[in-house]
Amino acid sequence: MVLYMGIYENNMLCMKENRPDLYELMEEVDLLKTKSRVDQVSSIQTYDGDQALVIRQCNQEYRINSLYSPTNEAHYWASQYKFQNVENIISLFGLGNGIFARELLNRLENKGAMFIYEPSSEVFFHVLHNYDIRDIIEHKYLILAVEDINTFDFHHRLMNSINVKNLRCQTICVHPMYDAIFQESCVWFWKELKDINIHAQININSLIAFGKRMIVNSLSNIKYLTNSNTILELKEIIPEGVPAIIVSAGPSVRNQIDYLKKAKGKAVIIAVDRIIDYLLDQGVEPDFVATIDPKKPVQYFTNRTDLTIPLMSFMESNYEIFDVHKGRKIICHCSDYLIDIYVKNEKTPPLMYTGTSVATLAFMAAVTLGFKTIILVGQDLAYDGSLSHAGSINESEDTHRDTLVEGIDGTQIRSRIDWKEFVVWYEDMIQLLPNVTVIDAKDKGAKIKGSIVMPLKEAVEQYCSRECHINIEDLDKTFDQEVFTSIRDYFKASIETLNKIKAKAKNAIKYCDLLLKEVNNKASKKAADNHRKLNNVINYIEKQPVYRLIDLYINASSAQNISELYEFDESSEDNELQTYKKSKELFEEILDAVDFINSRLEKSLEELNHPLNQNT
Amino acid sequence: MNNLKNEINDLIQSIDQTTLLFYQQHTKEAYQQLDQMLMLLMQTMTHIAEYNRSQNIESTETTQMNQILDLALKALEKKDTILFSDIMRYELELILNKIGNTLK
Repeated sequence: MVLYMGIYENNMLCMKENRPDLYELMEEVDLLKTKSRVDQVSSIQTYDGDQALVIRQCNQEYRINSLYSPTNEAHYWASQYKFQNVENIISLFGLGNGIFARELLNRLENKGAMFIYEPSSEVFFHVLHNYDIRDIIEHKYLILAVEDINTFDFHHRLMNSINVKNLRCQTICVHPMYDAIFQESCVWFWKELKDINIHAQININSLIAFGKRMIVNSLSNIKYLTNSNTILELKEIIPEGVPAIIVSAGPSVRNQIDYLKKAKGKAVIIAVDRIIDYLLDQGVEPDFVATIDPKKPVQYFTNRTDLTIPLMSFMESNYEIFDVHKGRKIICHCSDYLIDIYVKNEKTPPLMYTGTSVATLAFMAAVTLGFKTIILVGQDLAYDGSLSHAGSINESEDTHRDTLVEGIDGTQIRSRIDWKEFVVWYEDMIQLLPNVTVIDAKDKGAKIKGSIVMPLKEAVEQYCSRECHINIEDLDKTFDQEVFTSIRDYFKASIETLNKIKAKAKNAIKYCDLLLKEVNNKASKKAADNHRKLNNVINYIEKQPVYRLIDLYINASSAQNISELYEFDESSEDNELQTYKKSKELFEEILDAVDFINSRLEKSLEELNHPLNQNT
Repeated sequence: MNNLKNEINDLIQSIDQTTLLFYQQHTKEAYQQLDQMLMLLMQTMTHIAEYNRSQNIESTETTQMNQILDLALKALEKKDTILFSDIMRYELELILNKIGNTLK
């Protein structure tokens, strides 16, 4: 007996198998509450036997597809888009009945990913009932978001997909007629793309600014591994049932000191680097202090020479701060290059990811440690008059980086572009962590959607009722002195590998020169041979653990070059010329990277060979 | 006659270019080309009519073309550029091709 399944059942079965998260959310959606309510959705037969979608909105009828041949129309429309790059990112506003999306996917040929945002769940459900879109649902390089169902997916997935390699390989499309029908959603779509690209550019700029310093920091900080724990190990001494209080450096902290004192011993207090001296001066001793910035000036950390409060940080954080700090280091991220040190010593490498601010690091640390309630103090993310930080610190106005954000009172208030980024980061985290309660304990500043705005006094009364005391000495350190033996061996092996990479990179430059000469003679055996040799060099370099440092170096110094390497135009000859020229430039950068990293490794080895760091 | 055949081919090409711009939602550029296309269309239709007269051909194609154009322009008035493009491509071009093929 054959079980007949209609179009809808087939589509939904496909959805369940391929997009279970979306499937689950679809079961909960109430079409009467969706924002972009259309008056009516229907389909009519076209002259070629296909169907055309018809949407009635505000008493106007929009036929979304050709009456004669929707397939041909979609083909003509899609023919204006060429996807020649290595990694293409397509953002499409409007799924419609899938016919335009299908054309784009066919042209994409799996050379990248497509993000579709459908602004109407009513249209979406109508399409599921009337059109077989299983090929679209099951497409593995397609991210599908529907307004009022999984809007956040579009934002979150696209934000995490744009990087230095594909930033310039994006195509943005609007389904015909959709901008006229769903105007508000279309504005949101364009704004999202703008914000996501700004975010990507900020990340790339950070990489450019800090890449080399991160190498210096992680190789210098390695000597502190014998006085460290990973963030995961710290969980052993964190009590349950108490909240975490993250104290940032916003001006509102000035008014919160008394309540922080009350919370001490009943919450785990994590202070960001910039506020630690102020808190200690006011008689508040946090349980942890956090730092992340690879180049944070030491004077923005502490003027104290005896600070032993455990320091939460990345291995790539400023080595000068590590040197000034005298207590236990809690490593939240060990850097990709140092993963092998942990693994070889049978320890779990800490790989916590976070936003780009120290407060977001403290927040993620709290999440990693299992806190179910996190109270934000001083996370103003806006100017308070002319003040930017507590302790009367006033960073000067800068119209290029200043912007407006929504305040907790609903008005527009002055903030900074990077602070606005952090607002978005918190809002995203709150969406991704529905089991964590986030309290924003301030009476002014930027609104963080999803957080509960509550005076700290109330938050302390409500959440800080259990006693808790943390003593870092109760926790065994991750490593003992013996780890330095394996680190020295690891560094020596890396130096050897770097010397080999240097020789191979010099050869690769010669191959590029030969290939540039042969670009008009693709059939030549010599060209094929040089191409193969070039690929072998690339494959060798990418397999080496020290490549993780080389990658950091060249991303920092050649971000522009890298993004151009992945961008192609219509002429295949020009593309080949460009590829070999850019590749040659990258190998020259690799030579610089090798020299830079070699000198740093030698310096670290010297430090590790210091009597204080020898085995006893 | 060869001239008329070439004229018909040029017209079809112009229709293809203009309608492609409409299909691709490049409406501003499409309207800019539309004037030229319509002029070429009028010219070609006039020449077809003259040719039929000279050959004593009683053809219904001219009447059909007028009806099709009427529908196409009505679609354009309603700003249904896709329907306009469809009519031009699937109806008008059909007749133009038919006329072109019958030219000796």
